[in-house]
Amino acid sequence: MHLPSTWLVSLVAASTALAAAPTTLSILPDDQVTLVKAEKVIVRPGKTLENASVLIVNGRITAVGTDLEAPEGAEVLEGKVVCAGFLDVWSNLGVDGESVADSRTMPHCRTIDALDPYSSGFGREEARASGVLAVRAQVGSDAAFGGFGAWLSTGTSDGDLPVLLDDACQSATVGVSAGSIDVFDRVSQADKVVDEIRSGLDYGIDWMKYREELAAWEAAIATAEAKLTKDFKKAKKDRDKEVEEAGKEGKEFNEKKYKEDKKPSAPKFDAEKAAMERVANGEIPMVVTIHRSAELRALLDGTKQFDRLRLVIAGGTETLGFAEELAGRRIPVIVHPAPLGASRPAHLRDHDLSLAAQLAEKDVSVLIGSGGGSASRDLPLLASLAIGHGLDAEEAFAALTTRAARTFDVADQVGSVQKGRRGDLLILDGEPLAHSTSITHVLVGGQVVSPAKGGN
Amino acid sequence: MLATTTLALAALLCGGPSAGDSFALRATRVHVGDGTVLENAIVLVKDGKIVDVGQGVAFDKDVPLIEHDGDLSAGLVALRDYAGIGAEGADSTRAVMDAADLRYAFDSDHPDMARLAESGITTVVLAPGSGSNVVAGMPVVVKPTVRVLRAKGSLHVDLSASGTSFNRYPSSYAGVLEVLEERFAAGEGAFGELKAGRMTVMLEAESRAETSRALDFASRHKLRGYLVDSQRAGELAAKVKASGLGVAVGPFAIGGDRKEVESAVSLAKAGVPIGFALDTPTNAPAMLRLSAATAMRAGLDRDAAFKALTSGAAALAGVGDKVGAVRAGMEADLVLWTGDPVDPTSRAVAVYIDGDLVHEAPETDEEDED
Amino acid sequence: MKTPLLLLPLLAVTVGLAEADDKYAIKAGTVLTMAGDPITNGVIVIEGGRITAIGSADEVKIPWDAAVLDASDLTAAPGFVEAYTSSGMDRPNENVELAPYLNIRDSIDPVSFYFEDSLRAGVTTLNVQQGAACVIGGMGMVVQPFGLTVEEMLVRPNSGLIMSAAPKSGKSRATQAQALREAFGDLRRHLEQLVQEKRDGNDRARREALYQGRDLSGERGLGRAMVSDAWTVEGLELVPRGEIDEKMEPLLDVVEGTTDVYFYCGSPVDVHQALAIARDNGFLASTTLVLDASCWKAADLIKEAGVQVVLDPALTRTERDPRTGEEDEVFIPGVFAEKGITFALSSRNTTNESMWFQVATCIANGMSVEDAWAAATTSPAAMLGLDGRVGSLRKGADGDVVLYSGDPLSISSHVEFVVLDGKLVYDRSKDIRTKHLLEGIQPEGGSADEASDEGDK
Repeated sequence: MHLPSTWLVSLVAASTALAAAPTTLSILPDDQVTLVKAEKVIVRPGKTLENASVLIVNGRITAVGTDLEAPEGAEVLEGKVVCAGFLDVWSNLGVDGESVADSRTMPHCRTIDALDPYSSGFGREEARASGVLAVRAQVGSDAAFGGFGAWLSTGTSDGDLPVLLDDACQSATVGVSAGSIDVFDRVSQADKVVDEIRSGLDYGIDWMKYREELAAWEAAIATAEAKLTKDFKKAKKDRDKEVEEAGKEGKEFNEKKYKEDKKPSAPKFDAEKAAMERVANGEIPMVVTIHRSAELRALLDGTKQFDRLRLVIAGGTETLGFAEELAGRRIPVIVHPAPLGASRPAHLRDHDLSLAAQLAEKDVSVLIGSGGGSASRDLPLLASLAIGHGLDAEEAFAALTTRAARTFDVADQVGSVQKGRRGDLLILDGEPLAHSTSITHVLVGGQVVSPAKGGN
Repeated sequence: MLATTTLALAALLCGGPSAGDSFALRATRVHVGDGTVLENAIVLVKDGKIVDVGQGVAFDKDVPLIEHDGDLSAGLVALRDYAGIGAEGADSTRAVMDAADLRYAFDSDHPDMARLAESGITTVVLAPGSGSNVVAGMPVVVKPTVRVLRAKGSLHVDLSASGTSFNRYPSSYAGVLEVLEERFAAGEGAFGELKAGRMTVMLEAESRAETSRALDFASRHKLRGYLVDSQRAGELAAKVKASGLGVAVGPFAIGGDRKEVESAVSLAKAGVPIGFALDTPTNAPAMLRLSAATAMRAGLDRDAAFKALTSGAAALAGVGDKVGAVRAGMEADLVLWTGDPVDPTSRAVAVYIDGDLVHEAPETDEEDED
Repeated sequence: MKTPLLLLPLLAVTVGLAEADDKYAIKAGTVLTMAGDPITNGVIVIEGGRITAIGSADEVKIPWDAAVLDASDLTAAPGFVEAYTSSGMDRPNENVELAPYLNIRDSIDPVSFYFEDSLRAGVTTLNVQQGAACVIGGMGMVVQPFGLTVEEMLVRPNSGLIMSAAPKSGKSRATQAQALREAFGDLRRHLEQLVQEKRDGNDRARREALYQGRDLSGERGLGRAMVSDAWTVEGLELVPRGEIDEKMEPLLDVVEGTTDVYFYCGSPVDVHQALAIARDNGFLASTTLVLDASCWKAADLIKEAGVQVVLDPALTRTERDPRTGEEDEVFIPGVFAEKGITFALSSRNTTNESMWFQVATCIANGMSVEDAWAAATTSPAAMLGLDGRVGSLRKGADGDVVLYSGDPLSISSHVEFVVLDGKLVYDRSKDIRTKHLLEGIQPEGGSADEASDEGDK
């Protein structure tokens, strides 16, 4: 589930910068090969290559370097700047609308059950044209517990909805739904999240204990059987003697010594707890949509006990006051920097577009999300707004690429222009998030999907 | 990364030069308003008006010079807004409220007004609230927190379904048209002014069919002004152009209907004058420039976007001779930006209305104090 | 004694029951067989409920002691076969979302007007299932639309379980899928637990079965190894079948492929889900999909999976592209035919959706007459495992014949007679309800007569 798909081509890796020997590679006749050349290849924020190229074979990047040659039959594209496609960490693009709105989801529900490749794909088409090539999609977006989220590629066409990572994370919301006006309600919702994680942890411990006990019991049985087989006659004589003695004393013979000890019974299977166990042991991150101080305090305090937990906060309107703790505990915050009018829900009362900049300044790991649906196409615009309110441009770019990928375990597939990743690239005529920049080509899995129309 | 602005000490203490004084602004890039951008040009202001603009403008030694590392442009213009209006702006009891003057219906001290100014929006057309009227009243052109710029200059006419009401006459389109034709024929008050061309119209129409009907209506009575709420007007671009009306497009919500944006771009490409509606407080003031940015991403030319935010919109609002461009003789409504005004990454750092500094962005930690 | 009003319709249509020796012959002007060319001046001989001879008048000899129906001016055709219907009960849907232990024999209402209307519409075989507003519903059965009791109506019991990938009200796709998966997950865990208990010498399951009064004799007392295309539970032979929780056992039959499944899909996405569940639990080969009109978009997936489908009565679908505003009309059976997917038509017995109308619509949209007829007769018959028994007129088939006043697909034709298992069960000339509609004649007998005497018409 978490492994990249295999690819067919073997090659000698290109060296970077001061390359010596030219690249040799063996390509099969049916392979789809694309070479992208650019004046500047942004491998990842902080690392760029001048006059370099990217070689993509069958949808995967096989080489990045300054001395690559186009193999015969390869499609060659040229541009000014090449960078990785943008990632939207807060979306529900491609998911059936009813499931997104379902407020009764539970931890063991899965977003991949609700994918709808037949829904009009123009939300995804627009996202692609804006450079957003993969999203973290989540059902039950307003439910107390949304279940497993998934990473999806925006695909190459309407019916195409590849899953990059299923069961990628868990989700919860605190203080967001309509019935959360009262601060006591909100704090108790935060407590509920902590309890769920706790129950997952305990469940995991119970199962671990059971397995240990089972192993011990099986070892004991094996020893007893070995003993019995070794000297059956003696054992039988001993037993007969004991029966006789017991009979003499008028007592009932206690068979227990010779019977198998009670076999440990397995804990009852609980799908919900099994799901939360994966969060408690840090296997997958837990995204909690939470905004206000009271519940933030409760959540942060309550989760201190889980040293393997990977918590991610989404929304985080009032997180600035907790910045130091968030930075120290390495809890990333997904912001949604959209301008809000006067009538806004209570939890967004203090919504501020400069939140991203202020958190970043305090070393909090900041991510940017579009909040779902067709807004994915406006993700770069939202990033621009955050930049306009103080966020460093390179930080913003990292938030849309490598940081998003690393936080959610998809860095081996997307988020950077490196060997082994998917051929999800943007060819631009300027800096990725600059307003005047246009995207000239969008590649998804190595396939050109749109000579994009219009501006960035 | 806010650009630093060095302000003269006098300016800091007094909150900027007063209207009777002169002062000069020099910015790295001055967006004059006709498409040209002057590098390191100076704008000389006196008595609340722009007296000179250029790279080699001369002025007295005692005139304070404010240097700005960044861009300077005329203040932005929103073609429809509801700041400071609240519930009292809507009166649905009568279908035709042609004498209702919005000048008396808004609260000039409302915080929404200050928010507009802070975002670099120096001219707004306040419209009657969204009640159901055929004619809701006369919009007023306002300089937020400062004064009324022009009253009784236009009339709101609603030719969409929202002008009808089921519990009073008219309750159908035909009824709406009958009422209007009657009023136009009588030619009294605002209707007479409209016919004579001394007032313009803010014409509301929503669907494509309503828009088409509204254009016919406008042509019939030779009306000047602009359409509002017509999200598909771009599909009738040629007809809109022929009618001579402009169109107030947007605001374009994040993740909103793409076709609405494409319609706006089609209009601009067909040569129809456009401006942007803003509709605060439902929307944030940032939506004005954001709508322009969204339109640009859908193919709108940068200069066309800038014009729609400034001079083009001012012309549609009937105040094009007073605001919307940085030119000698215009009123000194100026904004200092950190970058190109149409770029969503830039912000307003100082806003002048009638030559007064009405807003100054607080310094951030990054800025150095000289 | 006044005849109870409810029995009137049945008495009204029941005419001339056959003689005790059960020989019946039909003479028809034209016979459409669905097993070869049409026969002119045909004769069909039915003995003991089965067709023993069929051919032209000079080929076939009518037994001297057979009752003869002279329909020389009529057209005989096989009755239509409904591969899936959830009408004929007082309430098709259960509130309980997981109810594989229910059986439709307990809820079919033999006197429902639905069955009477089926005869009028020429439908002679129906697979009645519970409604699809469930996660997993109960067992269906194939019936004839005639009989005073469910047993009399029976053609084939236990036709299959109904499942739905479309969300039941109150659920979304995500929660519906999770419920389906959980049902099979729970089955697996239950079986594993039973095996483990047997290995541990724990007879809890046996005690529970006895306490619940389940039958543990004969085959029910024997264990059988689990046979499945997907997952298995090792050691299941240790567990007597009777000790498996009766609420879960029907699902085991599904996984082992001994029970068929009708899987309802309300949208193309549901098709993905249904096929995934079927594959993961080894019952893809015994699955038939019941599709909503929108599911044509998933036709490629269906083709790939190799399953058969039952279509929705809506044969065309118009969709508007939200981007361009263009409308696109799709002829759904055409999509499936083109991809080579076997499909059955389905009707709701209203005048504009009746089976004959479905067939006619297909032909009007370019389908061949044979293919269109097959989709309403032989294809559904095969889906129900009744290939050769119903849906066609041939030697050995059930004696179910429908006689039309003209071309069955013509709008001016109607069903004149219906013969089921060699018994005349419907005679239009004596159909009181039809007469009531067409001629305004009141039903005879009972309180209805008195009501009409009171002049309330």
